[in-house]
Amino acid sequence: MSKLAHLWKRLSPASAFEAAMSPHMERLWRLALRFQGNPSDAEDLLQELMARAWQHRQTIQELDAPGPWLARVLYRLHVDRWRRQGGLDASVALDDAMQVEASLDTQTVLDRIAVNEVLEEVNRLPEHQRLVLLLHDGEGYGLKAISGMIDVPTGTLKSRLHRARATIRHALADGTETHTTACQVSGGG
Amino acid sequence: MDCRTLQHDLDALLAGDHGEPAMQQAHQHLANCPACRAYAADVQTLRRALADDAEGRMPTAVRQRLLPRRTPRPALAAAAAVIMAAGTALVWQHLGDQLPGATTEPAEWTTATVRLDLQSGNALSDVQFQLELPEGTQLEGHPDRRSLTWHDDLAVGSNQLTIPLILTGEPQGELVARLEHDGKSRELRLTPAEITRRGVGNGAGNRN
Repeated sequence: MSKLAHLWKRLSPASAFEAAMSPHMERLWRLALRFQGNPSDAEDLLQELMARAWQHRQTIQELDAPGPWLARVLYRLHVDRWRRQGGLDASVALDDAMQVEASLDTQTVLDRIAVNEVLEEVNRLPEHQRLVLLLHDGEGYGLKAISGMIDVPTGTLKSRLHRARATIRHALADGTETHTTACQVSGGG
Repeated sequence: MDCRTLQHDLDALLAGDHGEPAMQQAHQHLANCPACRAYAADVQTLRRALADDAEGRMPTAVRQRLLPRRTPRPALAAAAAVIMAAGTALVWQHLGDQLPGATTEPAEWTTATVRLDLQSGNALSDVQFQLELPEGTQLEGHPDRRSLTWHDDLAVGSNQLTIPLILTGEPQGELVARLEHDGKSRELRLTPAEITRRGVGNGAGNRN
């Protein structure tokens, strides 16, 4: 049985809107889930996003790649909810200016750890580190795209990403045998 | 290059964002530094853990609540397998049957409905469809758009794509329909004669 697909005009406005949103829903769901931490709040957040997106449906249907626009709005709605719930900590980013020393552990850590334990450790990160890690390593956004999404300079994001990775490795390496070495590499700096 | 620089800027260095020489230095450093190799390997493991997070998949019930008209999705078409695997035949057919003209107001233009039958051996999700229109044609409802891009799924078997056109004059080129999926693409071109053969409902008045 053949199935028909129509272009926007043949669709009702609501159907055209849903057709434009549909390809992005899985990624937006994962983001919402990671922002909020549980499915119920994630769905509430996505419903807020859908309401906001409906108001801007013309913009969405005209964008070649509305994914970053939707992700940016989702993040801002998440921050609004976070603030309303009193969860915003003004001191969260005080470590941005601190340098992270290079790891000298010569053994990999995470391949010996169960995935759920790694994810639990991700959820223990400070929000500003967790966010960039989820967007970059989890969703594949580049730092430039993330910068546009959450209005944080790429240099700061780079530091937060490195700090997040280092924190997870350090936390999960505790209790395991470690081997360190001073870096002997030369040639090129 | 030292370990801190490499670990801090790992992604950009390996992606070549700082230039070819820096990328080569990064690879050289990794080849000689077990600590940085362990760091880079753990970054890959972390990415896989985040990407494989099964709990991150959207439940069907949630999708139904958020996109009631799109669940289950009216699958569009086409030949995905085409796109994906060599040896899987994709058949594109222009269906000759004409649909009734949609306009009722007097007009100098002609309406034409182009239907493409897209055969697919596999079901594909999130296929990108791109439509390029020649001068002398308009997509109904989008008078200023010469191209339109959207995403949809393709079902196994026959899928039909209906393209409602308004012919404001003689088409000045080919209509191009392009499908892309997983880095592969497939094109179908309709000549001006093939487009106008589907014209119906010549009007007599002026378009306002």
